Amino acid sequence: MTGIIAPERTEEVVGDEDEQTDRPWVTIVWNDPVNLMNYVTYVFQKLFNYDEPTATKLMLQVHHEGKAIVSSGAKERMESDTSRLHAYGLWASYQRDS
Amino acid sequence: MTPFRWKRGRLLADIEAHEAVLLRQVVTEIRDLLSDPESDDTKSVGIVAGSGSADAGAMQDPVTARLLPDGHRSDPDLAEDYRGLTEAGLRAEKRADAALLLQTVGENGGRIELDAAAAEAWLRTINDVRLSIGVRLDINESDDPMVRAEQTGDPRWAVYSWLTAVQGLLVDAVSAKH
Repeated sequence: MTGIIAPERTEEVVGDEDEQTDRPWVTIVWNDPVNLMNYVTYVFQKLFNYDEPTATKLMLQVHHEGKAIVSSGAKERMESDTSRLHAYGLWASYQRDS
Repeated sequence: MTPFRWKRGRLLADIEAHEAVLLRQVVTEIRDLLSDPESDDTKSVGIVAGSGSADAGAMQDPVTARLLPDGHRSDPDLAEDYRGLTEAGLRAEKRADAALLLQTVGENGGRIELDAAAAEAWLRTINDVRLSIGVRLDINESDDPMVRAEQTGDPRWAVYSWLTAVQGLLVDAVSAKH
């Protein structure tokens, strides 16, 4: 994974120290030829409360690099983030950070 | 169809009768496509629904696979877990979005009035329709839908192009409020 690290939401700090030694999980949005740039930016703001410049930066990273990490944290939360993105038609998946 | 405008916290637009017929058709197709895979609903044939071949399982259909993608790309067990957790809910949400959109568009067109929830339902549903047509047409980023419409004579390119314009206007309107 190159370059920009997605802003991590502050409430993500959890207590389980054993889990913390593992690599965290991330939610990735992949580029696709249909989703409009302004729509993707809007969805990032709506779902993750990113400000407009951050959402735009992530959208452009998806567009130019083919993918971007949009959130990171516990596995269950990444499942939830992925399904919220799927509800909006964005092409998302989650995995352990590489 | 006119651009959307805000009035007293609601988005207003006017839609022509022939546009309303088209929009209702493609959204009805999406709603039916996302019906419970266990049910015996007949598969429709059309702009979104494709050939209507009955033998292909729901997940073999590339449109369904795009609207309900794998949550994990390299681990089939995790992908299966994700599907078990989320697929029924996503199908229900997408069907509810389509139903809400259909409630806001009269069969003869005319005034459309959207509250915040209806505007989100419009965004998600029109995007799902565009994703579906994009899969059927095997669209890529270098395609200009208007040019392809002329080259191919396939009316789905024109429908796609129109829906892209409608969605773009709606995103702009909703973002202005955001």
